[in-house]
Amino acid sequence: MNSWLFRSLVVLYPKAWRERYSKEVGDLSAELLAAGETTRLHLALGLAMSALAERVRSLHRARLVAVLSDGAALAVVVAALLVTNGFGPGGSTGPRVTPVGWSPSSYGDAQVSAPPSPPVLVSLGSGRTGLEQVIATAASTASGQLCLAAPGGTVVCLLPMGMVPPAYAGEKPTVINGVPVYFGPKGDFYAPSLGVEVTASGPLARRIVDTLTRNRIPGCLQTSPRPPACVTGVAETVKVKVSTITPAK
Amino acid sequence: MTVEGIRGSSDRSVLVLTSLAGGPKHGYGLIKDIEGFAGVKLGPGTLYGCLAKLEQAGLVEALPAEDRRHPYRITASGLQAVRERLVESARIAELGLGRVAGAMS
Repeated sequence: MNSWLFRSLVVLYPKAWRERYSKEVGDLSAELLAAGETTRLHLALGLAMSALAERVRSLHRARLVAVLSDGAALAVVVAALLVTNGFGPGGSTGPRVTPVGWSPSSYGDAQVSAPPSPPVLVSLGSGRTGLEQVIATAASTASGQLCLAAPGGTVVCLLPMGMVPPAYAGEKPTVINGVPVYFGPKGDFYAPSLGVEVTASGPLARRIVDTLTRNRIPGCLQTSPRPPACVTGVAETVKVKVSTITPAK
Repeated sequence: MTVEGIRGSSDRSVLVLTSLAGGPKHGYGLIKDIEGFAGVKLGPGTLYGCLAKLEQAGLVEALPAEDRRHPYRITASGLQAVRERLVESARIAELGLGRVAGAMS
């Protein structure tokens, strides 16, 4: 078979097919022509038709791959939505993050959960300017003296932060519920991806910090000069004592 | 094409598998063999379209080239697949022949 014509016809095949079989098809075509089993025209027409069939088959495979890829992408999106809405291990109010009976409290992009008993003081957004909001899950002595461990009690504070202190920034963060957390030396935890510093002390401190996760209403924390507290729709499930409050935007 | 997929495949794949069930053959040998037992003459493009599908399904495999000839042989999966297909065809043929005979009598 004329090599120019053969090359032109072989180009019509999908690349993968061409790379694997074109030499064999060429050798067989030459053998058939030499044996007088076929004509050049017949060969050319047959190769052109087969190339078309391979192209169609290849398109079907590509479409299948595209469908599977789209399906995988959709599954990732759905999984991400489930996780960010509390149905996954990294979710905000999912049962794996918030133990049964515990109440979540949110500040900005962060959320922690605390049990109703024993008394736990959860303070949100206190800083140099003073207390913004205190959520006490049980009777407590919430006051302006926040983030100081009461004798035998547990206090958890979520404070705004800008960056991890340089002393800890180089350390490998521990991941809690999908959130990278840097440990400070005195029971303070830094979660820069959530924009908060968590200070916790008392017997339940670590268990409460282990519930740290991303708030289901992200982005409600704004930075300086005075970040507003942001409480999600679960606030009514806990007792709230407000000293000074800035409405959530 | 999967092993199961041969059920819905064209008769050409069955012809190629049936030919290779008799022993390894290269392209020219396959064409002549199939022409001999089935009266069907496959072109190079059609033949290699079948071989590509069957090889992808693991029903046939290429053997080392002999000069400019490229032999193939049927695999165990290919033997099983073509056996099932031929048994099914034989059952349908027997049933059909019986009905035709009944209609003609």
